[in-house]
Amino acid sequence: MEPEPALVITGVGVVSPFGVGIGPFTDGIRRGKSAIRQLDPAKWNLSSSCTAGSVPDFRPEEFDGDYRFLRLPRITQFSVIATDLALRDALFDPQRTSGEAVGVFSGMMHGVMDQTEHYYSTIFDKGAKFANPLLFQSTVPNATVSEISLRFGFKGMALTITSGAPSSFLALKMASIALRARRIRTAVILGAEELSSRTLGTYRLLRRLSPTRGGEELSCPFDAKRNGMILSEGAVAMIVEAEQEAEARGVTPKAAILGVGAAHDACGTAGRDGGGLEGAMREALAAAHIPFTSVDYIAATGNSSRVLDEVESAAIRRVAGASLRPHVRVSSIKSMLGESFSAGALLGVAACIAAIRNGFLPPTVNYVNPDPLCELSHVLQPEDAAPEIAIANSACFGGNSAAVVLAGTHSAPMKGNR
Amino acid sequence: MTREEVATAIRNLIVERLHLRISPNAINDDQPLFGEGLGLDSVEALEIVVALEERFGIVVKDTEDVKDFFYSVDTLTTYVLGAVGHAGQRSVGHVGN
Repeated sequence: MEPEPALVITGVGVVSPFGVGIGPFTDGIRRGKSAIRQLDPAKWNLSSSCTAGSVPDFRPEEFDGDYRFLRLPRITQFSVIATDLALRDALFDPQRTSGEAVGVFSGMMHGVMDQTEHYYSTIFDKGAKFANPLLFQSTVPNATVSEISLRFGFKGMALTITSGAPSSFLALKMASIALRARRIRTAVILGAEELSSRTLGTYRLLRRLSPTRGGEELSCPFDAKRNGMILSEGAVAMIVEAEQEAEARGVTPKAAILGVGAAHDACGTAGRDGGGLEGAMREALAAAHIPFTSVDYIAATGNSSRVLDEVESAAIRRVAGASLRPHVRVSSIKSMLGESFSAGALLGVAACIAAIRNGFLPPTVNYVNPDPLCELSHVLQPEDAAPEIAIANSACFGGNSAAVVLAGTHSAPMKGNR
Repeated sequence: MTREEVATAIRNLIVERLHLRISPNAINDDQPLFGEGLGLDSVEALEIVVALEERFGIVVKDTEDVKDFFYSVDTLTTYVLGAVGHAGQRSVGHVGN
């Protein structure tokens, strides 16, 4: 029997609070810059001002001026642009490839927010007979993968997973199964979220947003004074294929996917101990056939919430056991970008790839006051380093958790990647 | 409402509801809405149906001959005027927003 193919990432496309493209993202996390900004209450339909990681100066017309693209939800525009960037980065021309061999796998926690609110408001205010057909087709959960499949001619399969922040990791896991079974040859992995007044208002109501318990409005993962998360938005697309496929195309992979794990806490917030993340990391490491001692860097899911940062710290310490060494470094780029759920999960992967390829570790900015419950080897300033193996974590309040183990491919720094 | 007023309203609602990036005046009355004309698709046609019903307080019936009325702004105007007359409304007001 033929061995299962090793999987690699050959293209990365990013739309983040640092801007459009992997360049501004890599530069931002390498310098330890904050991409969190004050939102204009009028523009965002907010009752009061707040900070968030919005995509700055987003001008979709620069990508495509057609009215059908411009009326799409912001999250779908992010996703299409991220996919286009990832395909270009992977030197993958959809027009010169059989669409039957390409699948699109998307993870979204909240998905389309603004237009969905508009769609249902019309139904509730005026009656179902005035529902907008156009809004219906652009707000169903699979609208984004359908838009990408239509635009690029991908006919393999189109899957949308909505299962919390790790949705995009679960999408990657499903894609890995399809790729290893040779059901498809290429997978587009997508994680995307859009900011909206509804999500901002809801998370404030749920006491999840900083400053939940007073103090400064700040994303400061693992810090003793952390008081909730800062919301964010964006999209990340990655092109994943078998190593041989990339080789046959003459493309140098950005990174290798050694393992993906997924698990659930299966307990409420009160008794939460990070069992889901622990299980996910253990599964990913087992799939990678490497011990934890080989891991150089962890892109944490820490989002500045009291509980999640604590349970992630505990989960990492348990997986490390007695082996937790000073050089197993941990940081959360959500300190700079905020929490964008499924997009944020893949931003963590993008951070690992950038760190491995460019030789640095991104910091957890705003960390000043150590919390004994979050004791880890935190990266507090940008550091030059040579990480070879990294883990990206993702977990959300509901207990759903996932982890991805990545490794470098000893290749030249990213060229032609925006 | 005169025929021209109805035609103007239809041009406006097509541009607004479909987010077209053209001036309503750029749509000629006899320009085909589908195919080689404006190039609208089937879901956009349904969006226009909902908009017409909301704007003119009519019911667009799902019959075979209705398709012919969706050829252009001119034919749609004829349809709306007929439907309004059929509904026996005293006036065609702006329903909803």
